[in-house]
Amino acid sequence: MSQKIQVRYDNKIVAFFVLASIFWAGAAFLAGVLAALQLAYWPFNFELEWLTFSRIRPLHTNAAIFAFAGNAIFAGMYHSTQRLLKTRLFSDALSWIHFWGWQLIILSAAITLPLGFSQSKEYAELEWPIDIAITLIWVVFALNFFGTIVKRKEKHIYVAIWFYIATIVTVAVLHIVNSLEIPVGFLQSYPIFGGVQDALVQWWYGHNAVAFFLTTPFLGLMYYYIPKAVNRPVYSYRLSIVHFWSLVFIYIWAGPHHLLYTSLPDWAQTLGMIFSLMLWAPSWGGMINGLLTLRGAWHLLRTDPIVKFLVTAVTFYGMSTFEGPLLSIKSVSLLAHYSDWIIAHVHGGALGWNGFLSFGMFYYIIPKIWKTKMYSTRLMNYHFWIGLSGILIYYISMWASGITQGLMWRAIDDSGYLVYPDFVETVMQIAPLYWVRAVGGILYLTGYVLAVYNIVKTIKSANALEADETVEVNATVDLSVDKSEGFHRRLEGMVTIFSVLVFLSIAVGSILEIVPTLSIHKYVPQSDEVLPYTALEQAGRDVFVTEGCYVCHSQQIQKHVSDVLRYGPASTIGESIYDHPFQWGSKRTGPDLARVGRKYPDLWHFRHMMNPRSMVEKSIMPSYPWLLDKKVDFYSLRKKLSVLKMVGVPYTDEQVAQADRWAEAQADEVAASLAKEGVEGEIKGTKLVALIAYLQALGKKSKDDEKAKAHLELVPGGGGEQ
Amino acid sequence: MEDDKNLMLDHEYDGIQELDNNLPNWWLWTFFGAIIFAFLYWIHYDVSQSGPTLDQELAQGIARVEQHRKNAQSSGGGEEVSEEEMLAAGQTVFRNYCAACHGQKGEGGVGPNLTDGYWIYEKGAPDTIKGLVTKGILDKGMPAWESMLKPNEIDAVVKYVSSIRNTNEKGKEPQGNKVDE
Repeated sequence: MSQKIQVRYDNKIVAFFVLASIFWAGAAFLAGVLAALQLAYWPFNFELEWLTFSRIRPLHTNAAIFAFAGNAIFAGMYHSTQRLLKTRLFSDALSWIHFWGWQLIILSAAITLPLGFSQSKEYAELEWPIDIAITLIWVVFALNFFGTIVKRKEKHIYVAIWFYIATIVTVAVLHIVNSLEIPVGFLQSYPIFGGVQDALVQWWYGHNAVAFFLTTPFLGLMYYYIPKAVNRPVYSYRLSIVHFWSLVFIYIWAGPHHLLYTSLPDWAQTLGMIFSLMLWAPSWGGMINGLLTLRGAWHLLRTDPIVKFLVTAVTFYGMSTFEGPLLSIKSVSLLAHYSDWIIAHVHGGALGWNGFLSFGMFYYIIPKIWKTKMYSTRLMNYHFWIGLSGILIYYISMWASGITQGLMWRAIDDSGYLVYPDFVETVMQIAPLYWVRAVGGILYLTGYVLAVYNIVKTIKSANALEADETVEVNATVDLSVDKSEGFHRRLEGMVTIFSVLVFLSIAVGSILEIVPTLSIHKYVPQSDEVLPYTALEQAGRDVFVTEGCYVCHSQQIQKHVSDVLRYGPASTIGESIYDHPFQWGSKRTGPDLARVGRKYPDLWHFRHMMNPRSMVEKSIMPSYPWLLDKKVDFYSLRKKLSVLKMVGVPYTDEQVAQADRWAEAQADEVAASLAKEGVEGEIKGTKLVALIAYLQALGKKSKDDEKAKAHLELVPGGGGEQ
Repeated sequence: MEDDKNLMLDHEYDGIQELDNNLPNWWLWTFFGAIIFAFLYWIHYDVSQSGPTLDQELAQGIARVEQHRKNAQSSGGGEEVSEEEMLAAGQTVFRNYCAACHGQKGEGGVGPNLTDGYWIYEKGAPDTIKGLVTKGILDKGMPAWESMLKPNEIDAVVKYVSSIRNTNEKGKEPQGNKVDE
């Protein structure tokens, strides 16, 4: 018999992460409910820039993913890892740097996003100083985690740990590659990738944020908390092996399914679709293992609220991972993409899978580490049923909305015309469903409030947190390779090799998809080449990004008849070649803008931005009156254009050096056209003028366009020649 | 359940044990089926290129739409529409699409006043208005409505616009030249 020693599990860090997650969940849910109400009834935007939908929505997604789910993951990982490896976390110092660092990152996100500091890349909106902080804290986390593995008192690592390793390795790769950007100021930067490259990298990141931040860590948690909660063995070890490796290998390829029918090359779209289909079974492997672990313990589903939460979470995981491959089929995507069906899909995952798994886990952990019982089982049950009703109402209303609007967008009648050519008509049709959705969100929030009350009561009635939990474990563990073990069993004892294999598994798909695309701009046909934005247009583009217009407006006309009839010729690769960042968008709450340039007069845009209802009576778009009060910093355009030149936009030295005067000359032109139409006041230097210049340039940057060419001539000193 | 004892592995982590059940057959077939389908799909569209590219699909779709439009036009004109019906239809189109810029009564706003007898581009005769509506004045922000409106809708709205000129609604100042009847 080997000697025993005592180790102390760190429960305090777990408690802090649990409470942080619960705290930020409130922020995420409140922002979500506000956003839902804003879509139902536009006056809820309050004409305040930092409360406007286009800034609240990134706040909502970031809070839900990185603050609520992020802290929940860290809580569960630190709680389960110590127990699965029979050792205390590697370093208390690293644990606390991780905790406070992460909270500071969230706090800085909560401040900068409403203020409009954003890169506009979904779930990667945070600006470069915060990107660097995330990288550093992630490294701290990784050191702490792998350090814990090194000092483990258990030879083999359990399947939960496999998923944690995949999470840590892959999120690091995703975050670093997608955050390659060059600063132009303290809180602004341009990504080094542009156009189609940026789109591909972003959705490789975006989809795998779902995969490796919202799926693999939660599968790991599932593998610990379900067997613990029901006290039954995991259903199938070999299924764990097969679905783990296939999931990790296949998931990374699926990103391009966010870009079907766009100007992304066909081969990449095909890969995105077929790998998404192949992902169905590996995903369901996790669900099967989770659900069948309950064999012999199904009665707990009636009596134990924790089991209700966990099992329902896994069920939603099964639904989402069936729906995901379905939505990736090109023809289904054509109906669903840009519509609320996608919103339904992600909320099934976020509220059902991530949310319920987190709450089930909290209800498991809290009484354990505070050495007490939950204050009220009845409140847990209420939370479950109210929350579940909320999810279902949300899901079903957004299905109905998405499918309705998708069908309306695409309806073409016998005489070859769009049945609903007026975009706002399709919005009016689904507006009532936005109220229904808000009800769903409010119910989910209500369940959360009950949880908070229940948890506060529980903690108050407990004696104290058991900050350090002492257990007896073997003093030493023999890590030498045992030849009698099977291949994978041996691998489970060799964590370095295991981690390298994980890295290689995700590297294959990443490299094969992204690398060929990096040279794609060389092959754009000359006829597709466009002129770069003028300095003023670029300034307007920054306004577009800051305000978050991409949240509701795409700039990508799909290669499909209905899109072409509605918006004009399909978008080409060449047209977005100088777009750093790309603005293809992912949702059309309003119409596509890829060819909105010169479709309406300047005055139309002026009035529309001040009050959209003045031009489109039924519009649900927020007003942006502050754009008339805010000034463009013309001087900063020199720096901005020089950075863009560095990443490949063909500006001349003259254009960069004279960027401010160039922009002012064009601003004079726009202001004069508006003054002629009766707009009063000194508007030349306003952000609104810059934004109008940008909107009027969309789809109008062809090399043969006289007006676009004339705008290049506005550079003082005649720097117009390319 | 009886077999669980035989399937139990000697793995144990914090009290969690593992069974070693076989992979469910239906699950395996889902997996293999998806892989086979994916492979065939890839061969069809990307390797042998026997399937159409998205550009080809789009071109076919556009051709179909144009054929539909042609058919509709040649078979159209069957039923006679009365003057009043056409004006009423024109007014509806005007309110839905034109009024945002030209005002509810055509008094102007972002776009010019259509009721004052002054014309910037054309002479205000139905045949010249139709060209403006169809092709637009893109540089000034008048969209080309041919992509949005059907031919009979364009005819109706042109008729309506012709009918409101010289009604002299109070609105935007006259622009362009006075055109006499």
